[in-house]
Amino acid sequence: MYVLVMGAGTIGLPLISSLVSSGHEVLAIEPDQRCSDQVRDRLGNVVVQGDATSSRVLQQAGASRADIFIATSGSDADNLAASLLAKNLFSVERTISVVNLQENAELFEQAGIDVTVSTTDLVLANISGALPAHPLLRLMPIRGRGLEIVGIKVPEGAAVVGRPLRDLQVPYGVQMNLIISGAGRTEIPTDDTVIEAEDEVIAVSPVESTRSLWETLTELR
Amino acid sequence: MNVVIVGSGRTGSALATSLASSGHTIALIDTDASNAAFLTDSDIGSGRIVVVEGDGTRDSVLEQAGIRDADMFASLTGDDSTNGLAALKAKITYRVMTVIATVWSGDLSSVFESQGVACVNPARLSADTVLANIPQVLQGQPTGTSGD
Repeated sequence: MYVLVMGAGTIGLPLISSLVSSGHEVLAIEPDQRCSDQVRDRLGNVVVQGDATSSRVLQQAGASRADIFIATSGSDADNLAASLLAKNLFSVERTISVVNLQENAELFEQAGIDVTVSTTDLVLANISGALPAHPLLRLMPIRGRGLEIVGIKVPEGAAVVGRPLRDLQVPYGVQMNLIISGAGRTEIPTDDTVIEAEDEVIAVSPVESTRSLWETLTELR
Repeated sequence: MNVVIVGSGRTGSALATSLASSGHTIALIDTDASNAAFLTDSDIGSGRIVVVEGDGTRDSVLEQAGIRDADMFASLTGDDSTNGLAALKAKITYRVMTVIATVWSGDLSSVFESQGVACVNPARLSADTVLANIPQVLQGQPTGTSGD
């Protein structure tokens, strides 16, 4: 698999590193000399210095045989322009773009970018995952359908602990798909499944109901 | 006609001035309002041109400039990517009828045009205009034969 990565900054660099170590053919395109030197020092000859919004630079990077193009620069405008060039001019099968401003995500998808990744969402997910006081993890939005996949940890002393799922007042439209116990055992829940403290519930939830689902599962006795 | 223009440099200001003089209403967006220095006092006094300070690729700024009621949109900054993002927003998100952008790269032009944005290459326009003003006799002649 030949992967082109635009941008070797805070998001691009670890991404390139992990793609290289999983054995893919990777080439980073980075305009800043210092950043591209850093990649070369750490990972070898997997970087060219240049502007990926230039079709000449993309062509020299072998975009026409790339399977995936990933845009990770800090500029949404540049990410959009380069991804569209990769897709329309070089027929790259799959284009993935970081979206620095949440408001641009929908436009990117309408313009034909296959996958968008919102940095704000990721940061929020990480923060909420790291804080024990807020055991709600928004794992993935399901775009265009108003749904999201969430992970909610049931705290010690929650009112739902020891009760079967059928007793729970779950908001309309919520589908609980998986329960991961504190010990790491996974179970596909049924109506008879009894909630235990430290269980992590993975559910598909309408975005507007997530808050209420979280309250149901975390409210203390 | 309501017109929203991003980029109040020479081209943006000139377009705003000429549209205002034919009676249209213009919102001119620029990250730095002092760039609108090319506007004359009579432009601003006419009340037909409003300068909005902000990033023309942001929803909030575009909405403040009245993009929801715009009949025409033009993104004329010096940066192809910025013009592309602003123009695609106008076309796809806000469904403005006529959307124009200045784009220097020919390949980016074709990408944006496939999405319904009319692209203008200022460098090509200038070159063509210069070329059109060169006397016929010099065109198509090999160099170095005519002397000084």
